[in-house]
Amino acid sequence: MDIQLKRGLLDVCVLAAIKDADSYGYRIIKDLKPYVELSESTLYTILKRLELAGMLTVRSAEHGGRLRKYYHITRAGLGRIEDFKDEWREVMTIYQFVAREDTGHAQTGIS
Amino acid sequence: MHKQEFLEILGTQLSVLPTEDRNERLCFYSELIDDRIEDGLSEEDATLAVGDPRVIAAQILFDMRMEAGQSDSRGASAIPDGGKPRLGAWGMILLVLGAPVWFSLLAAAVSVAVSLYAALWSVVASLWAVFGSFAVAAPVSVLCGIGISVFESPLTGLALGGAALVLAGLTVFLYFGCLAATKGTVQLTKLLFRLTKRAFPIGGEHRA
Repeated sequence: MDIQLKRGLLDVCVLAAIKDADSYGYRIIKDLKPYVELSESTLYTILKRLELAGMLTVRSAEHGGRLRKYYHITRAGLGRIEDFKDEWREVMTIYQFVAREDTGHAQTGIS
Repeated sequence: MHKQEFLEILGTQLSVLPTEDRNERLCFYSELIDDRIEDGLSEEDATLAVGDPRVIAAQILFDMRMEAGQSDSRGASAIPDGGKPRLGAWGMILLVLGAPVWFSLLAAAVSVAVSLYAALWSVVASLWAVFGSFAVAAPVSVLCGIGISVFESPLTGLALGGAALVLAGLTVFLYFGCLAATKGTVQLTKLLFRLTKRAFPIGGEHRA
């Protein structure tokens, strides 16, 4: 997959993982596991990038006698998810067109 | 591998990073290992699940280079070759052929700038010279005034003494004036120096 595209997708995946409730590193990886394989170092880079972009905020909270970092989505982050949905509605329309062409050719091939 | 060993290896491998960045990353991995242990894994299994710290470090450094490279290539589209315009063959030819014109113009501009600057300092120097003459004249005139009033005519002496005191007052004012003029000129020099340095960067250290 194109590296820029993948980067954008992973950013939105991480935002989606913290959309409903604040989450932490290990939890994000676990939640995304069924959908996308995400290494720890990649997650770190994404979280840092989203934080710098103002799409999430970080707070440290005590958990079991140690500090754990929780990530909280901001309004800008929620906006990014909405933009993503709009963009992909367009992409899906294009996809349907492209896929239809394929089946069209296949059908003429058969008949 | 124990968590501590994992973090030590990762820390050593990432020693090229700024301390703050490195510590933040180490905290991140420490938290991930702790969370896996809490999830029921043993310490060894938890570090194993996170991965080999050497491989992770290599991946982090590679990713950072990629990110830096991408932002570089994005920025470079507007300014190729690190922001320095390159001269083509025609540019070189024009530069050489035009030398009699541009060199004399440049020399004239430089000499005008230098003479203006020298004129500025000469104003400052003449101000100080006036101050010096005032500073010598004032006490001498006071002494003369006293001498004349005692030995010759008291009224003339008094007038001379009064004028001398006015001169002394002016001297004090002039001192501050001279000082301000000197400071101003020095500041102007610094500003000009900085502007010149920015306009003609030597080497590549002034890119920012």
